[in-house]
Amino acid sequence: MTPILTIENLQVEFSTPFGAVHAIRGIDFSLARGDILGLVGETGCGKSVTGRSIMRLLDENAKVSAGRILFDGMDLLQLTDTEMRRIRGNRIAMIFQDPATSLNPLFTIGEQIKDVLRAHRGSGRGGAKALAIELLADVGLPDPAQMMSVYPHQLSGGQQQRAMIALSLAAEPDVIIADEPTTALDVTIQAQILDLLRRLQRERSISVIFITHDLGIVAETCQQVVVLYAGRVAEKGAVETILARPQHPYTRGLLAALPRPGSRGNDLRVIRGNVPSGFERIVGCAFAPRCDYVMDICRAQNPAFSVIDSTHHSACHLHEMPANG
Amino acid sequence: MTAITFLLRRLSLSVFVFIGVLILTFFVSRVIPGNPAALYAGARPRPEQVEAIKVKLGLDKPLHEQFLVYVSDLLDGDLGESYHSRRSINTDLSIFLPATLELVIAAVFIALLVGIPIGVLAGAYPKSAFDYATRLVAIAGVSVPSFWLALIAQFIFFSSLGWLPLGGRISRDASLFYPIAAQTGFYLVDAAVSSNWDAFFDALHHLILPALVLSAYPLGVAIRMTQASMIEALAENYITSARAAGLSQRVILFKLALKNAIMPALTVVGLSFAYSITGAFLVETIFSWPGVGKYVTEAVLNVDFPVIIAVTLVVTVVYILVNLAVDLLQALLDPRVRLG
Amino acid sequence: MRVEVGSTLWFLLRDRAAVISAGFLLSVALAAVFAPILTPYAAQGMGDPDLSRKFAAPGIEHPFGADGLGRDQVARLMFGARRSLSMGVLVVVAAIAVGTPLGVVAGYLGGWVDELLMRVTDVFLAFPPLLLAIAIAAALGASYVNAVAAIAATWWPWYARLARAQTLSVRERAYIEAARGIGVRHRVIMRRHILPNILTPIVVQGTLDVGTAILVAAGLSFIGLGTQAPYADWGVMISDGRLYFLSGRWWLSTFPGLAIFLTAMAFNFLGDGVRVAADPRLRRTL
Repeated sequence: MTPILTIENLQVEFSTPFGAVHAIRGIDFSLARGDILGLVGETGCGKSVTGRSIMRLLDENAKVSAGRILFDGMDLLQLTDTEMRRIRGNRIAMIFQDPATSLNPLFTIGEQIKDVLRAHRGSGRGGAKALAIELLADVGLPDPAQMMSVYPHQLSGGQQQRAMIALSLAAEPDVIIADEPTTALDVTIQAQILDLLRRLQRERSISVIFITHDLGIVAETCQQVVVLYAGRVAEKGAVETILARPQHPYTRGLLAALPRPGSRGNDLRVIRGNVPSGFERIVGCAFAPRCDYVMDICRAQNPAFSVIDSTHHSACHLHEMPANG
Repeated sequence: MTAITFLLRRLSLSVFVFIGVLILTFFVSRVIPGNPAALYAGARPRPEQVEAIKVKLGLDKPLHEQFLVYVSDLLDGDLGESYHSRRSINTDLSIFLPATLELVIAAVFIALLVGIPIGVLAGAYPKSAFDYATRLVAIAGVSVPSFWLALIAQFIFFSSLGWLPLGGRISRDASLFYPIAAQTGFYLVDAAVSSNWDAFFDALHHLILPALVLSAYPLGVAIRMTQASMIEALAENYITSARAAGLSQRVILFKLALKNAIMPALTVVGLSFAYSITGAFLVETIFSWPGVGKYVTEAVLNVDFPVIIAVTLVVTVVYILVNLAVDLLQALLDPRVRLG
Repeated sequence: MRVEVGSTLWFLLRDRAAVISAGFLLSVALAAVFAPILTPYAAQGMGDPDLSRKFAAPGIEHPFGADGLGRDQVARLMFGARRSLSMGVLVVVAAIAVGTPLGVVAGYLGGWVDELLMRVTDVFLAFPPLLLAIAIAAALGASYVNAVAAIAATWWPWYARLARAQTLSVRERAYIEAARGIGVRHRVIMRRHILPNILTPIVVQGTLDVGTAILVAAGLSFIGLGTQAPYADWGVMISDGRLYFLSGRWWLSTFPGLAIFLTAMAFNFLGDGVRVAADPRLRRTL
C-alpha cells in the first residue's frame, strides 16, 4: 500500500539578520496509512519545523529550500494558498502542545468547533451543532451539550486538550500531526490523553505523526519511529526493532538517558555536548563531535543510510565497518 | 478574580484616585502659589480684596483646616466665583462643559471610526505599502501641533474653499430663526430631540472642522494601538491553530483576531478622550468654540485662577469616569473576567 | 526591556526613516546652537524690532518673511529653536531626575513604599495631559522656567513607573543578592548596582519623549504660559502670527508650525526605530 504522506529531501532555512539558520538539512521518511509515526529528537533538532512544513505554517522568515511533501498524490509544497487551506483541518489536522493558548479565549468551545465545520463542511446551523456535540462526547468531555457554551478558561488542562482534539477531528482528517500534545499536561492526564488519541486513531483509522522528545511515549504509542538529529534523520524504522536494537550511537544515547523502572538517578547517562547550532555548516556526520565511537571518516563525510533490515535504516559510518557489522 | 471583586477593586481605585486628585488640586491652588489670596483676587488686586479672599477661603487657618474648607465647598457643589466676570463658575461650566464634551465626543468618534479599521488592516498586512502609509499618517497625527493645524484647516476649508464656517457653534441666523431649546447643552442632541433640523445641520456644519482637527492626535494613537494589538493577537497560538484548522483569512482577521485585538484597543477610547480634551484647550479659542478650553485660555490671560483650578478638577473627574466606564466595558466583553 | 546598545544601533542604521530623522534633528540642534553666527539678523532673533521691514513677505532677503515688528523669521526660528528644544530637553531631564530615584526606591524596597508611589502616580496620570500643567504653570506664574517645571511636574510619574519596573527586573539578580548578603547598605546598592543597570532604557525612553515634550511646551507657550516677550519659541511665534494668518500674512504662523511638526515627527520616527531595533521580538517587522 502506498504511504499516505511521504517526505523527500526536505530542507528548511530561516533567514535571520545574522545569516541563514539551517533548521532541516534534508530529511526523508514516509507515513503509512493507519500508522502512528513518532518523530523524536532533542529540542532544536527540527521536529516541530517538520510538522509545520507539512502544514505550510512556517513563520514568514522561514522557507523550504528543497524537497517534496507528497500527500495523496499531490506535492503540498506546490499547492496554491487556497488549495492548501482546503487541506488544512480538512485532510491534515494539527494538535498543539499548549491547549491553554491554542484555543481562542474569547470564543466558546462550540463556536470554535462550528467555525471548523463551516470552513470545510458548510453544514447548516442545526447540523453543525449536532455534529459538534457528538464530537465533544466522543473525546470524552462530560455533559457535551453544555460544553458547547463553555469558554476555554473554564476547563481543566486535560479537558482543554480534549476540546482541541475534538476541534482537529471535526472535519474528519486523514492525517493528524500531534506536536507534543501531552507535554504541558500532568502525568496522569498525559496517559488519559494518549489513550484517547490511540482509541480515536484506531476507530477512525487516522494516520498520525506524533512529535515528541519522549521515547517512552513512542514505545507505548507508535508503530514507526524517526529519530532526528540536527535537522537530519539519524535512524528510522519499526519501533520494536529500534528500541530493542538501536544502531545509531545517538539513538543509543537517547535510550540510555531514559529513566527505567528500578534505575537510580545516577544511572542515567547524558549525552555529552550540545546540538550544533543551525548557523554551523556541518561537514561529515552531525553527531561526530558528541559521538563516543567517532572515526576520521565521520568528520569528513556525511554517512549514507545503511539498511539494517527492510524496515530499519540508520545513518552511521559504523555500519560500513565489516568488523562492527 | 470574579466579576464582583473586579468591580469592587476598580471602583475603590477610582475613589482613591478621586481623593488624590482633590489633594493635588488643593496643593496646586493653596500651597504652590507664593500668595494664594493674591492669585485668587486676580490681576492687580486691592489689599482689601486680598484680605476678603483670605477670609473667604480660610487661608489664614492651618493647611488641614483649609483643606476641609476646600472639600466641604466642593461637596456643596460650589466651585467658587470667577474673579474676572464675578459669575458663579458652576453656571459658566454648565454652559461650557457640554459644548466641549460635544466637540470631544465627535473627535473621539472620528478617531475610532477611522483609526481602528486602519489599524486592523495595517496590523494584518505588515510591510505592505498600506502599512508604511499608515505609519506616516499615524506619526503625523501625533506630531502635528493642534493649534497650528487649526489655523491651516481654517485657511483651507474656510478661506480658500469656503466649505465650512470659520468658527463658533452655530451661525447667528440659525440661532435667531431656529433657536435651540436647551436641555442637555449638546446642540446636536437638543436640536434632534426637538426636530429642529435647520439648527441641527447648522450646528453639525460648525462642528466638523474643529472635531477633525482635534481628532488628529487621538487618530494617530488609535491607529498605532490597534495595529500593535492586532500584531500581538495574530502572533498568538490560537491564530496558528485556527490556520492549521483551515479557517479562511477573512474569518481569522475579522472574526478571531479582531475580537482579541479590540480589547486592548478599547483603552484608546479613554486615551482619545484625554488627548481630545487637551486639544480642545488649545484650539477652542481659534475656532471661537464656547467651551471650557476657551474659558480656561481666557482665564489664563485674565489671571483668573479660580476658574483654572475649577476646570482642572471638573474635567479630570469626567476623565476618571470615562476611564472607569472603559474598564468596566472591557471587563464585560472578556469572558475570563465576566465569568470568573 | 533590556537594551543591547551594539545590536540596537546596528538595526537602527537599517531604518532609513530613523537615520534621516536623526540627521534632521542634528541640523536643527546645530542651527539653534550656532544661530548667532549663522544669521545676519541675530539681534532681531533675540527680539529687537526693525520697523522698516514690518510684515515683509517671503523673498530673497527674508526667505520666511518678517513679522509685525520687522524681525526676520529665519532668525526668529533659529533663536526660537533654542527655547523650544531646550524646553523639551529640560522637561525630560527634570522628570527623569525626579522620577528615576523614586521609582528605584519603590521598586527596591517594595511594600507600602511601593504601593504609595504607585497610587501617587495613579493620581498624577488621572489628569488629562496638559491640564494639570496649565494649572501648575498658572499657580507658579507665566514664564519659561515655570512652564518647564509645570510640565516636568506632570511628567515624572512615567519615569517613576519605568524605573520601578526596571528595578524589579534587576533586583533579584545574583550580584545584587550577593551585595545584600554581605551587608552592603541599601543606599549603596541602589546607587552603585541598580541605577547604572537601569539607566539605558530610561535614557532611551527619555530621548524619544523629547518630541512630545516640545509639543506640550509649545502648547503652553501658545496660550501664554511659556516663553515671554521679547523672546519667542515656536509656540509663541504661531500665537503671534495667528491674528494675521487669514488676512494674507500666512508666513508668520506657517513656518514655526512646520518647525514643531517636523521636529516632533523626526523624534517619533527615531523613537519608533529605536523601539523596534531594541526589541528582538519586533525586529522581524523591519
